[in-house]
Amino acid sequence: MHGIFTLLATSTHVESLDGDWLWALIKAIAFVGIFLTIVPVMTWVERRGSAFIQDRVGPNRITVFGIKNAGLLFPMADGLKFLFKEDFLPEKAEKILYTLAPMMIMIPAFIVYAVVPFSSPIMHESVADDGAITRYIFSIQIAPNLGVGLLFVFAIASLGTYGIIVGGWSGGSKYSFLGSMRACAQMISYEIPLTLSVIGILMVYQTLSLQGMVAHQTGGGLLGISWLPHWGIFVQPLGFILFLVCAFAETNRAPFDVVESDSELVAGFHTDYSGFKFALFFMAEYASMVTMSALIVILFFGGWHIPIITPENPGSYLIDWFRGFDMSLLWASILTTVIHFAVFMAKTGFFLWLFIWVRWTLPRFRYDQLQALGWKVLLPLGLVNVAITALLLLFYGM
Amino acid sequence: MSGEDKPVFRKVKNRFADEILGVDDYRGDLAITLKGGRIVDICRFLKNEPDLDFKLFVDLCGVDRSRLPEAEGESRFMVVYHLYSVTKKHRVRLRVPVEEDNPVLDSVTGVWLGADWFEREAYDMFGIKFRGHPNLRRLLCHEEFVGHPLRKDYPVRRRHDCTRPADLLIDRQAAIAESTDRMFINVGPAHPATHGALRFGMEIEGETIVDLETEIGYLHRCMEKLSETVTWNKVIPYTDRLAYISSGLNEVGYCMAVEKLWGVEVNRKCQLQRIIVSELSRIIDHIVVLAAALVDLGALTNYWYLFRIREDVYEFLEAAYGGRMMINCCRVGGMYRDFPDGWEKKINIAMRNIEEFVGDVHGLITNNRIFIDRTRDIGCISGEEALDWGWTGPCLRAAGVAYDIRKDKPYYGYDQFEWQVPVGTKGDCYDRYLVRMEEMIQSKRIVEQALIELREYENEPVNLDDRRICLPPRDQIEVDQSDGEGKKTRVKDPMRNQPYDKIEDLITHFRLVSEGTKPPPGEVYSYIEGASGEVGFYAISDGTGYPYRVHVRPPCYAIFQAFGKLMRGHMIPDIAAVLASINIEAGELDR
Amino acid sequence: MTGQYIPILCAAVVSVGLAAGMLLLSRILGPRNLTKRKTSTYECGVEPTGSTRERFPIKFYIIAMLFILFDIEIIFMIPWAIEFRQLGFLGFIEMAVFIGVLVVGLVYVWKKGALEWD
Repeated sequence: MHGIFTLLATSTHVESLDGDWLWALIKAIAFVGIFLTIVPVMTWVERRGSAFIQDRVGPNRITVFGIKNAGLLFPMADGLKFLFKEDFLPEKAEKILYTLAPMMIMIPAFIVYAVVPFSSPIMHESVADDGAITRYIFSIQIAPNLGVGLLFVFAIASLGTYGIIVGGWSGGSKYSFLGSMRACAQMISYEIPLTLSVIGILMVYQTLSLQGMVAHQTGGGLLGISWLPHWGIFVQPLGFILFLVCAFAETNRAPFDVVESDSELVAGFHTDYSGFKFALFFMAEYASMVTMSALIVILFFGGWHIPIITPENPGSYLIDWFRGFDMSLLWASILTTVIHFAVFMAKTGFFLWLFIWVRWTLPRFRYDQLQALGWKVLLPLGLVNVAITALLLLFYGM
Repeated sequence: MSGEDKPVFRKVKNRFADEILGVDDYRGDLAITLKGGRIVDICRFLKNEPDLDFKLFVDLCGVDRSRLPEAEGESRFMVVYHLYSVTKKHRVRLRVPVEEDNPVLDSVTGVWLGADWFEREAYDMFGIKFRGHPNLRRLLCHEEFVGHPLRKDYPVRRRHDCTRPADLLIDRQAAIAESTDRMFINVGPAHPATHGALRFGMEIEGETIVDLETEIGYLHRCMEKLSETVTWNKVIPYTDRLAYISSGLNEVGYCMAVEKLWGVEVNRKCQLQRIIVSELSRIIDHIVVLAAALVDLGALTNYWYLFRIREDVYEFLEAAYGGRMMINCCRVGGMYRDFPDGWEKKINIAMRNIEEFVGDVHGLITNNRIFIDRTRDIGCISGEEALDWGWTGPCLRAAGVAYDIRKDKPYYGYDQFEWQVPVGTKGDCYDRYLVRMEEMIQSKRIVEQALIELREYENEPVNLDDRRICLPPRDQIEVDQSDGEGKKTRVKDPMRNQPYDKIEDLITHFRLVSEGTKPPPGEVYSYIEGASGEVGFYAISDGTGYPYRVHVRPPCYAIFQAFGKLMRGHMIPDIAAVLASINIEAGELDR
Repeated sequence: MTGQYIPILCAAVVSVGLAAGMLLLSRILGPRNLTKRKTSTYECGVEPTGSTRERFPIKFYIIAMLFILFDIEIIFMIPWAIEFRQLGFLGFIEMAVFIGVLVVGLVYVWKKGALEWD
């Protein structure tokens, strides 16, 4: 257990600020703000990154007051352009559904963030006259008390499928119709191996709460090696690979982007969309990439946990280290939280880069090959993973 | 050996003596003139007789002979067939006269599948009807078009307003409307997968293609008609715009045809330069085909790697001829000009990069499981069927038939170089990909050997020393060229030439440019190995400075007509894979 | 118990507000001059024929049915996985039987060709 959790466990009285709806609202707005910064940065990384991979320069033309910024302002220009573009309905479209579809895909993509623990909680303590210590806790997570964490993520994330189906069907174009048929079958097919791939890790962690999973991984000394953290990747390597593949499929990213494959279906399910409605689809794709990357980090890479800081290495806890400088608990925990947040973002950033890297490396699957991979390879492998995990836990673990 | 003695003619004569009207062996082309009545029987005989074995259907076109002086009093039209036997390596041209008042001939689509679009084109251009053709509609011209443009009495500048898109899969529409599972979907002319202005309609069930029909002709400028309005040399820019990504090859093919009419052979130096330009064009063409094919499969990065080499090659072509895509480099009897100073360095850069970037693409794609799954066993065609459709080039070689004109009838001494012809086994998209990748490396080998030989001819003239064909030579003046740091060197000015110092030269120049070179009357068919197959030019001269008829045998036209059949039963994503792998260049399809 | 969902509600409100707000904003800021050509349904520039909203091919229904079957079974595995250590060997045997049925079903579907597309 990480120092922060031991600190909480030894407190006589803990008061949480997490149930307060006003705080939740503020946090929700703040996280949306964070996300709205990630999307432009991601599009920038996608453009410059692909240029780097493809041996070319990439966008670099916008300069502000003569300052070259390597194309950093392109995403901003894009956003403004989307706002000022004409937004129209194709004549064959179902008006209400056509307008609702981009929202239907965007809203679940955002709500999922409610259960993601971005960092360790901030703490504050007050000592009463009788010496009893009351500790206040403030989580960097919108809904930290939700016990069903991971299930909630799966449930809400899969609602995004409706947005794609409705969007493709209501537009009235044959390309988007075909795209939405593909999307529907692809997303439900890959949901099965996706869920199956985490069964093994759930057996190890014994919890569905994402905060709890991070807490579980902060232990050290895996296989008797003191520096080896208790991360999911080491106990569930097969599960990780399955989850990674399914994550690519669920976000409709290359090589699984048959949903909008431009050389066949022009732009797939959003062929007829323009203006900000299209921008919402675009943002939702990046939102689900961020979700999936965050989930990979939380499930398999210890969330915000820093590898070398383990119970076998006492004194390495940041919070204790900061308090050693005669800092109050509040400031020490704020600093810790900031560092943990940066660590979490760095790990997530790596997987976001992986999404981009893979996209510019691999060709696209054909639709039926993609289905065959899901049903004939990933599903059986997922079952094997569950069986192996169960047997190992029964005879060695417990 | 005259035409009478050739074994092909003797075989035909033994069997169909009554049908033969005449035989000719002008410039070595065996041409048999036949009556039209039993043309299907004769064709079947030519195809199936083991000693003849004309399995490859090369070309079919019409000729309007009404303005040809020697054809006075004969029938107005002539339908011309070109056939080739891959095993026996012999060729024949069949000429069948067709009367103006009853322009009907039996269709040979029952003998060779490949006659399909060629007969439609002859119908479209001349109004010759082919009895028994399954789908005799206009192809290059629009359905609303009036008249037949290649007839000599059709004015060049007449225009028609054509608005409606053509109906595709007409006989399937009722069934599609009735069915609740099937759908008609239109792809193109503005679609990312079509690579140019072409269109097809598909009947689909879910993702499976039940039937597919193509429409071409969006770029149709009637290059063959335009050619009749300018002098022989001025046709060269038109040929650039056929297969526009490998324009050098078309020019070489065309100039060879005119030189064959003249009965001359260009200088060795010119041959070597033409070989270098041809092979560079072939490399560019393959790059574009492969890069586009990989983009369509979602592998965009390879596109950039390949296009890097194309840029290097263009650097050289631009330095040599000024143009990049439309280089306009050849002239009848020679080249536009000699290679410029520093040419070797530019080619060497390109050659070095080819190796590197082709290696990168091999590493990224060739053994990639997803790529193999997408292309293996997709768009398969057997060698026999491919010949029947008139396929040539890399697509035919991928199907296992090692027919490469550079080996089978070497021109310009291609047989002196050391290189190999890559051949596939299955004829699927993957084989076509591999064949093209390897051909780029082989082309590179040819260029390297030609470079070494070219050094020996450094101070020799490029053009023929023949005042009937080529402009008189002029000495190039030398000018100062600054390297930007104050240093000046004397170089041959590539742009400005010394004026003539003899009045005879000036007059020759004037007459050659304004009247054109005047090859003796006659007809020839000349062919080279283009980037996507046999590029043939069937040229008729009436002794004037203007071509009487120039017909192009476009390789991808023959290939693309098989596309509908090839796609049946495949899935929608396979369209992108197959279409890109057979190399469609709308400029060459439509002409 | 429902208290833990209040923050979710807040997040939902924010994201609905964001999505709707942005659409509204672009509606206000963007120009509006519609023409017949612009609003016509895209089919590569050719007038579409026939209805778009045809029946889905039967393959997609099979996939949907398989999904429901397998997904529900896998959802049953989640509580078992969480309580795996408490349930012990008996729980393992029970789940082994359950997964066994699942595998038999998968093999059956596979052999019947429901997973093939051609």
